[in-house]
Amino acid sequence: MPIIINIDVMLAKRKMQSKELAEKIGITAVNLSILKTGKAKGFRFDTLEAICKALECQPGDIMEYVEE
Amino acid sequence: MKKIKSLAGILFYISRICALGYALLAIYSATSLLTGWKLITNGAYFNVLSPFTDKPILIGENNLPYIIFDFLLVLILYFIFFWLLGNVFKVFTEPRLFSNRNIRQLKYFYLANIFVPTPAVLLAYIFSTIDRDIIILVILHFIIGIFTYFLAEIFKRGVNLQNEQDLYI
Repeated sequence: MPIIINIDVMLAKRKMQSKELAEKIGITAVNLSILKTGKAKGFRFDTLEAICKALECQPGDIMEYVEE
Repeated sequence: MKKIKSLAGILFYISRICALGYALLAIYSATSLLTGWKLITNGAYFNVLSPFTDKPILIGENNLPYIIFDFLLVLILYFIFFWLLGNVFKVFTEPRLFSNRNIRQLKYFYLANIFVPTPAVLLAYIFSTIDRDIIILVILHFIIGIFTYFLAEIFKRGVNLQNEQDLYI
């Protein structure tokens, strides 16, 4: 998939664990794992907003476009 | 959706009662025919009497092929039909409508309605006569089977869409 989700980088920068982030943004750890591993088809704006708020970052910090 | 669930719940219990009714009738009739208890034979016909009164509740031709293929087999097959029908109604009471388990229940129902009546009637036809009404029943079961097949295909599409939707976080 051309859109790569780089949540791990931001998690490392904020010294936060996946489980903590999942709890903060109100999704299950399984769903966060689906997002991190690129298996998600997409995510809702409110999920993106919650991630950016929890990680204090911009959408571009956690997403990257890589041409196939 | 609540109305559908309530209606499906009611229809589920009605189907189960019908299924159990046919099962009890089959067991009771078989017992009656095997033991002669609560049974009256008038030459060409037999009457199965009610266990509580002595009124006839079932009547049939007094020959073995009829008893097996036109009588007992019909009772057993309608027990199966109503049991599977109950399972189909139960599908609509489940919290998650589009699931592989529900598709399986629809599949058993349509397979039973499409592929069982015709061979059963042909088997009965070998050994005894078949009324025109039976042919109409077979056609009706076939039509029910086809509709349920379409429903199962719609449910399969629903499962795929649901799985895709579940991957939108």
